[in-house]
Amino acid sequence: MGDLITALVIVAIGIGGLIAVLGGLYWLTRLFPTRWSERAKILIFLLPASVLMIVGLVVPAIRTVYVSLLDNNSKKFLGLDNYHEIFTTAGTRLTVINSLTWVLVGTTVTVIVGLAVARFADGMRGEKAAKSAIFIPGAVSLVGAGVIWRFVYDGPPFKVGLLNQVTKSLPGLPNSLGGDGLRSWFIERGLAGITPPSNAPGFNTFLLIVIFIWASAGFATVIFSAAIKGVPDSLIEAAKVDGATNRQAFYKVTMPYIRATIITVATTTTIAGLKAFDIIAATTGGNFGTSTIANQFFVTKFVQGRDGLGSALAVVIFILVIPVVVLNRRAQRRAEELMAA
Amino acid sequence: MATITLNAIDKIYENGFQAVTNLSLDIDDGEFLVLVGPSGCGKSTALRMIAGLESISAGELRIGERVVNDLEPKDRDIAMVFQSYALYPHLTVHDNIAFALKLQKMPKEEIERRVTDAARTLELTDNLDRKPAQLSGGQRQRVAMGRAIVRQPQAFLMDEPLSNLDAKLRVQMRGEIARLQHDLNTTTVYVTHDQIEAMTMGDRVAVMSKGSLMQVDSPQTLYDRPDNLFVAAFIGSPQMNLLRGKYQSNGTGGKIQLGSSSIALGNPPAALAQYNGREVAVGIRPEHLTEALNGSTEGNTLSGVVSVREGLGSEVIVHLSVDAHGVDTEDVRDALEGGSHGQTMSARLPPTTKLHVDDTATLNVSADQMHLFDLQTGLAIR
Repeated sequence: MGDLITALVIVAIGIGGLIAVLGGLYWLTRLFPTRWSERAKILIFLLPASVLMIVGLVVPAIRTVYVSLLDNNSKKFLGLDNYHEIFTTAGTRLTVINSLTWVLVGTTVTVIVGLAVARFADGMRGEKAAKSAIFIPGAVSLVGAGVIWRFVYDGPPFKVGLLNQVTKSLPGLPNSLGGDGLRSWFIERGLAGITPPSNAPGFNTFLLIVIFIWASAGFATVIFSAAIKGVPDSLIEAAKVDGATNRQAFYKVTMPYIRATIITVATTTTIAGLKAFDIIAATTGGNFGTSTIANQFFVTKFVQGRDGLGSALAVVIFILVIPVVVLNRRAQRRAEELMAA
Repeated sequence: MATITLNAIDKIYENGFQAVTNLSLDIDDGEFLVLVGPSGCGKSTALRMIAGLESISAGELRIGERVVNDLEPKDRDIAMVFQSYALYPHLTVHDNIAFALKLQKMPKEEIERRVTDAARTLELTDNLDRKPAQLSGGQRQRVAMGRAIVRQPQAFLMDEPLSNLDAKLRVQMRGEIARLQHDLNTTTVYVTHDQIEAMTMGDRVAVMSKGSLMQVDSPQTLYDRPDNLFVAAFIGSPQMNLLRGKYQSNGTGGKIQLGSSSIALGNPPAALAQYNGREVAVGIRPEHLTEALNGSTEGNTLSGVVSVREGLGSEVIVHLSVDAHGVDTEDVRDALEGGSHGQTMSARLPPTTKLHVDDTATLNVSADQMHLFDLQTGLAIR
């Protein structure tokens, strides 16, 4: 009971405080002469949000960039040495390559799966059920997704690995493909006798990307599905009368029409892929050559306490995201112009 | 180019709604046939069945000699112009027009030749590199036409292609489409709810109501000899005056009592004999009413009080309240989309008329130009 009252009081103080601040700000604007008051109002009401933005986002971002130029104790200025280290040390370089693999494979497959399900489910019986089924994984937290898939990929000494049970039951499968049901899927980087070089993503990285696709394809499907339903029927009908097969109508009319949506989903998935951390932390912990930049950043900065190198890794993610955002913005604007009709 | 033959076509939707009933039409090679009717009469559904965008529930559809009931739209070799134009927004005017040709894998030079020709015909040459969003409504309409004509298909199907244009442009494009069709001599089925479009454009006009064909004839025949009350009420603007009158035969041909007026019939149709003593529907076109000299009631006249006077420059439309009852059957309500005349009628008079609002007008009626219909069946009495 006491806790509840405390909570209510705190909430009341919070809301009351907000009202008081806004009221105070409004009162402040009235102190200005009339010809300034409009501008003053805008400035004063933007102030709280701006302060939070600057304190919570801009300053830490700039500080991170600054720290990335210092040594791991933030004492000595090193210039770009930390960045040099990222790209020359085999371990960190692999994380960059892994991250790019996540983005390329994860985004491509997510978009293709999303489009395919949205297209073939559209107007079919059981459309809602199919879309719900593929959407549900998206509602699971990525850590949860990682835990769920551990039960799939687990190998000896654990006996719960679903994938091992499946491969074991398939006749004629070699042991290198899990034919004996004793494969350590998370650990083994190679597959079927082929071992990738140490500077390339291993097979286990792709297993982790599968989890990412499993978790993000549902969202893509729902968004694509809504976009496909937004394509005017008459456009598709016109294409069919013009001689297009269903397939041609989809590729030549529907896809270009929903181009902006495809780009949006691709960019959000790309950014999520670049930030991939939870799945890795919940499964391999970044071991066995599966670490990504985001995971490596966490390990370097917070586990190993190497502030300079950790910050540099964070900055690399930031730099990789920028062109994606710019491309997205540009494509959006173009699409808006096209559809202005 | 080809004939299009609809033989007893039905369309019944999954929910049981019957949109088209027993529709039979023979459309000649090179003919411009207009399907007209109020909204929901099944005309668009009929067109979409010809296009292959709706399945045919029963009956047979032929394009040329082929039965096409089960053919996909792409295999029917027809081109369609949509009400919304349905231009591909991501393609330029050029690529919109060339879309179907590219799908046919036509040689590039041939595509260029056809697109250039079509663009010249439709005055789109300067806009070939633009996207649909950068065009005016009229230009988009032309692109839609261009997309159809480059293909040189068996037939054009047009679904209210002018209804998104403003009134002035509509009149202009009406002429252009009719001209283009005449020049290309391609079989065309044109759907509209606008009877003026139907009358001005069609070689023949098929009037539909509630999924059924009411009459198919040349525009002039539809106007002069409507087969039934629906066509009589639907075709013509201002509409035909439709009044209830009681027929009384006598030695000299008989008369019809319209309210307090008695109209003597010179030579009534033979079929009228069986209506002796019963009410019939009497149709009088507004232009078949003329002002009686000095209000003389000699001959066949009708009187009423002027309620509205609409001067149009070349003519004056005068609306009168009369003491005869208007025809208010379901057919007429459907044709007028819910409206009915009640006890008013209209007359088309020369601009010299001195009639003004609240004047009592006496109008001469030409009994030979009256249309008579059975009130129950709606069919013309001939």
